[in-house]
Amino acid sequence: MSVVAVQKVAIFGHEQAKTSALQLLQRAGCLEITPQAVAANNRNEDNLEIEINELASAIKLLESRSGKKKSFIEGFVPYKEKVTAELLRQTASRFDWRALLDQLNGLETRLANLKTLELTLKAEIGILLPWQIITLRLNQLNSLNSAGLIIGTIKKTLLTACTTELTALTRTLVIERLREDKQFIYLAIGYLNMDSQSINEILTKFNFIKATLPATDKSPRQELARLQGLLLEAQQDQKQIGSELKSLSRHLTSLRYIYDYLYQKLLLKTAQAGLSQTEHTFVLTGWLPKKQIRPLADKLQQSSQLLWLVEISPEAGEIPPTLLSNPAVFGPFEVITRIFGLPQQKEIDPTAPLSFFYLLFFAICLSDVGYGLLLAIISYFLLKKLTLSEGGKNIVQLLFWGGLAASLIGVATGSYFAIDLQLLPEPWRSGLKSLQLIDPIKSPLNVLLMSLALGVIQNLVGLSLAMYWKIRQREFVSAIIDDGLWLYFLTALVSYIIIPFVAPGYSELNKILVIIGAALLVLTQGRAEKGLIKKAIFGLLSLYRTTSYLGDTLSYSRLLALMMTTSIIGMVINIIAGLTSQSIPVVGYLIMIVILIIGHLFNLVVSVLGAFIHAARLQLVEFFGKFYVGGGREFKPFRPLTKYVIID
Amino acid sequence: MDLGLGLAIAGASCAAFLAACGSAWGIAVASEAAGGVLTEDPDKFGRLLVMVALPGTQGFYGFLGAFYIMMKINLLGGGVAVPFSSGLQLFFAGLPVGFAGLVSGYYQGRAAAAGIFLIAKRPEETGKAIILPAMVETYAVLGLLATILLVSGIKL
Repeated sequence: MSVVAVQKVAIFGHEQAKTSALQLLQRAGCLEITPQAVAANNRNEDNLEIEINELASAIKLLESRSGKKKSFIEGFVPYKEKVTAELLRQTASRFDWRALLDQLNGLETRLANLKTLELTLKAEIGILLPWQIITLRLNQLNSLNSAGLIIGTIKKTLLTACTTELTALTRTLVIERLREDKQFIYLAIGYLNMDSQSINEILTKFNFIKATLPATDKSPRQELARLQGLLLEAQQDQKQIGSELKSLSRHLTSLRYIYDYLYQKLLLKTAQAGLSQTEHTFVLTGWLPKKQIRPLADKLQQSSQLLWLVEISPEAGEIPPTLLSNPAVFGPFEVITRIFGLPQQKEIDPTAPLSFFYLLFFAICLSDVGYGLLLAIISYFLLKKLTLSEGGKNIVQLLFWGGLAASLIGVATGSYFAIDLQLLPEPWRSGLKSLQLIDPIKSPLNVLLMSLALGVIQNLVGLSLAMYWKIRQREFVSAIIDDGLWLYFLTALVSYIIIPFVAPGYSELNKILVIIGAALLVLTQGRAEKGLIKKAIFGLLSLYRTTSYLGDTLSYSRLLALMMTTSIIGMVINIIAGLTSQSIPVVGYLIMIVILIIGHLFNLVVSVLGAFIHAARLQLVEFFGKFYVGGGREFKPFRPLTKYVIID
Repeated sequence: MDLGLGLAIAGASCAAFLAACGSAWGIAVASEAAGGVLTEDPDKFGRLLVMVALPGTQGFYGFLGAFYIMMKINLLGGGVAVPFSSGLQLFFAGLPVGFAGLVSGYYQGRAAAAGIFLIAKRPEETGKAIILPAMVETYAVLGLLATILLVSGIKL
C-alpha cells in the first residue's frame, strides 16, 4: 500500500564537482548509494577514523567520571540535543580538543599507574601486617653467620606434633610463639645452620608456611608506616585526578559536538572512497524514491553544470530497498511492522491495517480510564520535553494513542483506577454505571466471546488482504481458490456457530453452505499434486488447516486475561490501601496514599508492558501469518548520521 | 463444610505459589544473563530490565487466579459456606494457572535470557527479543483463562 517505489539512478560528474555533489546529497538525504566493489582497497590510511575513536573513548571516560547518572527514561529512549550544523563546525574549529585529549590521555595513564601502585602496596602491607610484633630491623633477621631464623605460620592443630618432632631432632633450637589468630600460629624459629636442612624437611612436612619479608633496614612497624604513607598518597592522588576529570567533564558537550562533526566528515570521505572514478570524472549509482528524481536532478543542475543524474535499470538479481511512507496517523505503528521486518519492495505494507487492530487490542488489554489518561499524559510530556530519536518518538506516540484508546475502553468496562463503582457517591455511581457496557470480572464469558469475535474478524481481514494482494499481482486462480475459498468456508463455519442464537430458522441452509465449502476445498486444495489419489488425499488433509485457524482465534483469548490482570491487580491495591486506612488511625491515611500511588504506578507499568507485547504479538503471529512475508532490505539513504545531536 | 473451605483455599494457594515460583525462577535465569551483559555494557540496563521483567507476569497470573477463587468464596468479606464437592472443584480449578505458570515461567526466563544475549550483540533488535519470550507466555495466559472460566462456572 505504501511502500515507496524506488528507482535505480546514476549520477555522473566532473572531478571538480565531486565534493560539493556529495555534500549536497548528504544534506538532501534521499539517495541510497550502492557501494562499489573497488572501494575496499581504496582506503587511505585514515587519521580521521583514529581521531574519532580517540574522541569516543575520551567521551566515555568523561561520562563515567562526570558523576551524572543517566536518567532511567534515557536508558530506554536516548534523546539527542538539536543543534545547527554551523554550531558544530564552529565548536570543532575553535575548541582545542586535541590538547584536551592529550591531557586526558596523561591523566588516564597516571590513574592506571596509581591503581597498580595501590594494589602492590596493599599486597606488601598485607604480608607485613601480622609481623608487627618483631622489633628487629628486617635486614637483621638473617644476618648471623652460624645460625638462622625462620619466621612463618603453621596450623594450630599441627603445632604440638611439629614442635615435638623439632625438639626431638636437636636441642639447639628456639621456638618463639609470636601471636596467633583463629587458624594459625605465628612462629619464629632460631636454629644452627648445620641443622638447617632437616629442620626445613620437618617444617615442610607440617605445612609450615614461610613468610618472606622485605629486607629493609626498618622494623616491620616502621616499614608498615612508610608503606601506609605511600598508600595514602596514592589514594589521594587518584582522588585528585578523579576530581580533575570531573571538572574536565564540563567539556563533554563540546566533545560530543566535535565527535558528530568529524563523524559527518568521515561519512563523506567513505562515500567518496566508494565512487567509481576516472582521471577527470566520477560516477555513483544508487536507489532514489521515484518522486525525488526530478527535485534532486534539479538541485544537482543548479549547483553545478558538471553533474548529471540519469535513471538506469538495476542489475540482474539486485533487490531494491524498502522505504515505508505512511500518513502521520499511521507513522507510529511502523514500529510494529519493523519488529517483524520490512515488506519486500513489491509487497503490501501492513502498517495501516494493523494500526487499527493494534490500538484496539492495546486499549482492551489496558482498559482503564485512569491508567489510560495517565499514560497519555506521561507520553505527552515525554514528547514535549525530550528530543527523541525517530524510533523512540514512534514508541511514545504509540503509547499516547494507546492511552487515549484505553481510557475509552475503560469507560465501557467501568474501570477508573479499578475503583469499585458501588462505593462512589450517588450522582457519580449511577452516571458511570450507565456508561458501563460490560463488567469483565462478573461476566468474563462475554468478554471472552468478544475477544474471540475480534480474532475471527482479524483472521478474515488477513485472508482478505492476502486475496486482495494476489489479485493485484494477477494471481487470480490462487486468490480465488486458496484465499477466497477459505474466506468463504470460515465465514460459513462461524455463522454456523452463531446462527442458532440469531436466526435459528436458517441453520439448515447454513449447514449446506458449510458442506459445499468443505467439498470445494477437498476438490481444489490438492490441485498441485500429481495423480488423482494424491490430489484427493491432499484435498482432504487441507481441511486440517481449520484447526490452525481455530488456534489462531483462541489466541485472542489473551485479551480477556490481560484485561482482567489490569483490573484485578488494581482492585487488590485499592483493597489493601483501604484496609490500612481503616486499621491504623491518622497515619493510616498517609500509608494509604503511598500504597495507592506506588501500587497503581507499578500496575500501570506492568500492564502497559503486557498490553504492548501481547497486542504486538497478535499482529505479528496471528495477523501477519495470513498474508505477510516480509524480509525487505531497509532503504538507508546517505545522510547526516549522528550519535549525540540532531542536526537542525 | 470446613474441609470444603480448606480445599478452596488450597486451590487458591496452589495457583498463587506455583506460578510465583515459576516467575521467581524465570526472572533469576534472565537476571543471571542480564548481569553478565551489564558487566560489559551498563548502559543497556533499561532494555534488559524489560527483558528480565518478562517472566514476572506468571506470578501475577497465579495471584489473579488465587484472588478469583477468594472472591468466589468471599473470603475477604467473611466467607460463605463451601460444600466439600465445591471445595474440591475449586481446588482443581486453581491448578491450571499454577502449573502452567510454574513451567512457563522457567522456560520464559530461558527465552528471555536468549533475548538478552541478542540485545547484547544487536541492540537495534530489541523488539524481536521482547516478542520471542512472549510466545512462551501464551500458555500461562491460557492456564489463567482456564482457571478463571472454571471458577466462574463452579456453583457453590
